[in-house]
Amino acid sequence: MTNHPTPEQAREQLSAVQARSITSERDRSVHALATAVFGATTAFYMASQNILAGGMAHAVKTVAFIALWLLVAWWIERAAKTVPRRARLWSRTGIAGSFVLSLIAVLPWLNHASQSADNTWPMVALGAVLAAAPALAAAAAIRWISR
Amino acid sequence: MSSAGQHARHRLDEHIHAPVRFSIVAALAQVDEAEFAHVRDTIEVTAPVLSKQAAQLEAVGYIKIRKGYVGKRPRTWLSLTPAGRTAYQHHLEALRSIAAGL
Repeated sequence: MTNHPTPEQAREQLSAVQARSITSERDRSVHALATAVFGATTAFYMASQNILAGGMAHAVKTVAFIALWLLVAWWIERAAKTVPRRARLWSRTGIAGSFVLSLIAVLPWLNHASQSADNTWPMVALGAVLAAAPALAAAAAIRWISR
Repeated sequence: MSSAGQHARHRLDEHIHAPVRFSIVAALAQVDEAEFAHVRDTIEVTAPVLSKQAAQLEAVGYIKIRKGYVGKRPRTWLSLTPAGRTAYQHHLEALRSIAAGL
């Protein structure tokens, strides 16, 4: 190639750029799934604060939570060859959103409800689903929107 | 599109213009980060060639090279810096202008 490409050479270079893709659907799925798991785990951990409040139950839950996070982090490093465009931004925003939503809405609601009666598992499940929503939305964005 | 009397060819980025470096930057522009071996296979070059060209792009601040381990195996990740992404966009615009005969 010369230093000054002809229009035809420029078109060829542009075509080559469009034809070659480095990322894959698999990498998108890996990062989307990891974001969903991180978010859902965080949401469940937060929402189950009252129902699994005993010393042993809390300890087991915390160990399981940390182990799952580490396992997913370990899996991403091995399974994905690329980080799709804006996947990290979506993921961090979604997980942080789930954490914040747990703190400002779900936990206060569950704490308030526990004043009159113990939290039930359906309540915990509902709270976890609500809290996980931002992370699940981020996972969907990584899988289907962010390209 | 020409501006200030300059032909679009003058706006081609000399660091990206070389074929292998153009392929590296074009590949990395699609992702936040990519594994060295995957980039090597995608753009169909040898590891030493990719290593040398990537080092040149790193020297001008266009890409970032991150070295780490997955288990006990060393692994290298490449990513485009904001400066590299901007330079690539300008380079593409110049190419489009040339392709359009402007």
